[in-house]
Amino acid sequence: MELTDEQLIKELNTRFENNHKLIEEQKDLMGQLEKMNEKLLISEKVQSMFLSNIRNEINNPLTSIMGLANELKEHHKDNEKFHKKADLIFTEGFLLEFQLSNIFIAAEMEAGETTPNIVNVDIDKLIDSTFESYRHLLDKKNMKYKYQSNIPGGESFKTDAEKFKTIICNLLMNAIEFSPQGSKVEIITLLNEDRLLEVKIIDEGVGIPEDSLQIIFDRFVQLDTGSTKMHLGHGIGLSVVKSLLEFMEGSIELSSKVNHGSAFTIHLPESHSADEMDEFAEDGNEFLFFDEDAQDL
Amino acid sequence: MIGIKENISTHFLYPSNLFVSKERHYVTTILGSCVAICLYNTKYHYGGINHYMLPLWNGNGLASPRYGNIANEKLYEKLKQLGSLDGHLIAKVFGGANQINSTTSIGEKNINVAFDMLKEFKINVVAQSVGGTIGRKIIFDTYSGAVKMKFVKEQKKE
Repeated sequence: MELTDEQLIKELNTRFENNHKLIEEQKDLMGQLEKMNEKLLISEKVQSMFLSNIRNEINNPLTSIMGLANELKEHHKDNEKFHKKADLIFTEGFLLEFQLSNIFIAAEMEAGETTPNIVNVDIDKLIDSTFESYRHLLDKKNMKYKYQSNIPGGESFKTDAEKFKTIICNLLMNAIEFSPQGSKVEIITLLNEDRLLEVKIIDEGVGIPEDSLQIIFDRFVQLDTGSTKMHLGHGIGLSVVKSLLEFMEGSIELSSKVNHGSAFTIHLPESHSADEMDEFAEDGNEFLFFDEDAQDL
Repeated sequence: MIGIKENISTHFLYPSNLFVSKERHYVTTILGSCVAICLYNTKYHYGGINHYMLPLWNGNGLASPRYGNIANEKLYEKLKQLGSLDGHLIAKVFGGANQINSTTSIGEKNINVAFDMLKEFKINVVAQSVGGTIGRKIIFDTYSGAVKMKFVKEQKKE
């Protein structure tokens, strides 16, 4: 097909115009993206600072509320109406504290700001006291609990007490939440010769179907979702447990049977402090990776 | 040389963590198959370092800097948040030793993630000591960007 010069110029002009329009549109989109990106960056920054700053500001009043509610509860055992209300305040506060603590730990781990705090821990004492602080929840469901320790009497175990307690609390909370009235929760501990601590938490709860065993440690996964959701939490607990254990070089296994119950088994090696890790690195040649334009050290 | 200058803060970087500061710090970390990227702002003299154990996060557990793709992204973002422009940043990469008697090459995969992502961020790698079978201990000076490294006798598990 032959085109006259005029037609050709006209055609080129329309094409240029179209191109120009497209470029303008792209510029506009790019501008929007950049704005959005800036907003995201700012919100991320605010978020990470926000969480670390607000931790104490939330924890302190919450501890006061729970302490006072507990006091009211104990001092007014004769007044049933009063006692019940105080008990409710305490329980709700307790659950709120549990959720918040998980959120804070998750935020800390995701920011890469977790530090181990290794101390000598009396595992038996720690588990007993954990059971004690969950007794009110167990009692509400008429649940029995049993702790069977196979740790040689009085022997302590070097680990991060707070993280270990968070792991136990989450697994215990999980067992209570997903167990029927009047059932039993059992914890069995074992310390083997290689200083590997094993903790089993066994419940008689709803159990987890086999095809879901893989995903329950994923972040924000709870098998029971939607408007029929009957259980507390948002699926953050088990991912916190898994990440904490990985951080402490431990592991977790799960065996479960639907309607019969679940058994979580954790393995945790004894921790070393930073100084011990440093020791073996003292020998050998030194290399320096240094830039010419950088300042002298 | 990085001498022990008494008045300079030190920080021990644990695996799965990252550290970024505008204040001068000597950051020490010990690497087996783990990889650490030291990012340094050549214009304003500050930097940050990560220490990751596995190459990629698979959605299991938390999205923590235990995983290379997350650790590298977070380190880069943090430096940008402090005002670093792309042209100011340089990188040094360490670690990724393969364990003796190990068939899975986690170290190698960790190294690949580092170089792939730095390329994506368009950041030059000005120094590196990666691979091999021996672990490393490094001290990163966040003010000068210099890194002192020693090979370590015993190999660390990660």
